Amino acid sequence: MSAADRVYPPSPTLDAVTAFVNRECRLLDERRFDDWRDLFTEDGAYWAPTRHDQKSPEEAVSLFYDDRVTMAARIRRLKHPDVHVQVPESRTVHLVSNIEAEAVPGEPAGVRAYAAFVMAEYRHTEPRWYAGRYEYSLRRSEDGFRIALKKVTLVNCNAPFTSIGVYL
Amino acid sequence: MDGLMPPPARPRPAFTDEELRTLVRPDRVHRSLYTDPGIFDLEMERLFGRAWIFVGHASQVPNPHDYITTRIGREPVIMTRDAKGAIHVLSNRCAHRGVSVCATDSGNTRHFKCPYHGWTYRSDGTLASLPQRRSYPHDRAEIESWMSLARAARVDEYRGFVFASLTEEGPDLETYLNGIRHSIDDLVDRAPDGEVAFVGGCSRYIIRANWKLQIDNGVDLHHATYTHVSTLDDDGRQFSRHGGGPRIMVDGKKSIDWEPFGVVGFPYGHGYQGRPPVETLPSGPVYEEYVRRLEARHGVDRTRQILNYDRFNSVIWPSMTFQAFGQHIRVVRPISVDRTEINVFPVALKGAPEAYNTGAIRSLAATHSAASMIQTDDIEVFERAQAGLQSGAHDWVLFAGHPGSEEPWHEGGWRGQGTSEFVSRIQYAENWISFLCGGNGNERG
Repeated sequence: MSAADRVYPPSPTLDAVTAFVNRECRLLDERRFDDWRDLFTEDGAYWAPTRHDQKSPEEAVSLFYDDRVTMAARIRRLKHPDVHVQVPESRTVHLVSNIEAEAVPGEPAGVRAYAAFVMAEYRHTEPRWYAGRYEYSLRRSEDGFRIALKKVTLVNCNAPFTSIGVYL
Repeated sequence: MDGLMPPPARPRPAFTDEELRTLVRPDRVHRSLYTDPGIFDLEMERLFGRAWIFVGHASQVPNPHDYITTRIGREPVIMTRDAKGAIHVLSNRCAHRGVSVCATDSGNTRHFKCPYHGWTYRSDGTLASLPQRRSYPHDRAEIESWMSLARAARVDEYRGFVFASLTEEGPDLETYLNGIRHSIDDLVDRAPDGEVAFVGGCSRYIIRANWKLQIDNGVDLHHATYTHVSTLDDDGRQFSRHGGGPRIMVDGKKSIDWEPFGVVGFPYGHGYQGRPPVETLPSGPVYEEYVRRLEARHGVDRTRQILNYDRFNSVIWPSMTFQAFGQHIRVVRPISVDRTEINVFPVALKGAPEAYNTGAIRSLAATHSAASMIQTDDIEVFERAQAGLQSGAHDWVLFAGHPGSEEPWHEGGWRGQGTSEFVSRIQYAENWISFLCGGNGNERG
């Protein structure tokens, strides 16, 4: 089966993936971080590398590499009254587009999804913009998809950044 | 060959030496040190243009003709290894019209060729080829003297850490580093093979604040209670790579006495924070294998000595800060009076199990990246300091804690109480003011 054959044309699966990704990003915009974390599998991870072709979080440093345990620590911190980098807190809007979904050979429950995104963030001085690509490793379960990996590759992932206080 | 000389301050020095001396008192400095562009210009010329500045690690250029690009203050430079294995720190500026001859962060090349008129330089900085050579009637010696890449006046290294000074004057590197070399030893000795390597890329963050705020913070233990309070778990402990970090709060109240952990300072402004009270030391099979390899090389007693965790963050003034136990170094790169770039390099211990080193790479995402949980607290505080220091309501930034209580220390220098601010006092009142007035540091006031 070639890669092209695996691509889902407009289909119930692509529609479901699109709805899932839209919701995942809305949970971040609404700062519903616990609900957002629940989207991940028990061994799931959220990863933002510093290299465009980075293969793993161990090959080079990353902006984010949160497994569920680290996610819990980060989310707990985001609720703390003295999380200085979020006083005042960020308002964000994620725009997600160019969503594609493909089957994963040998993994009947697996779906890989790709999307392009722009995130606008406003805190207390100026708006900031992030752009890049999302790559999701999803697993189907009885109650919908779960995220095994969300990889966020910013178009400028190797640049120096001012503080990033929330998930991209 | 022309030296790589610091540029004249632009505009003309805004401060005379006498005026500069009014800005620094033994226990405080004027806020203009953090906010005045004229002071920043002078710092780039007289401090970063004279002191020993960290350039890179030899492991970043392991092979002949490897290079990295960086800056010394405002000077764009290339650190190269030539055909014979010698390291050079060269100006990234064509001798002809000033075009930078290298546009990438790192790589390997025998020749740097200017994209403008094709002037080409060898990896040792000498001129390799000059198009339209006949249009220059000058003799060979003259051509080589002013048509090669300029170079740092002095380059030296300590256990692979390469420093450069843009002036011939001043102390040699060994004298300049003095007691802080023990912190470098503390890092490098942790490698079973006795060498470290910068592999695993570079995490870069921007502080919209003056560079000195990062350095001040590097010898400040006390801030953790307040700045990092949101990183504590139910038990009041800060998370850390090896589990249970220091217990800082109990029932919402500060529960730690930082004083016994101490802070150590040395001539030329270097210093380190004593070990924070981490109760859970590393464990697990990877760590055990690491210890076995150290013991195989050094024996049990020396290994115990090497693994003794007696210091947290070290500062080599004014250009770097690092954690031996945390296996990373941070390079402080001033950009303008209110903007600084920090480059964070994970450090691999050669001879350690791979998983031990990759663990260090991975954990930086949680602790020191631009999106990390600890560094972002500090960045926020630095930026709020930059905002607050615009105010003329108070003119002074205070480093007045524990006056005169530091005692001589066996590594040289002095040791003070954990919340003592004496290391900053050494930096400003004995070194910053010395360099800014044209001296070479270590001016005991």
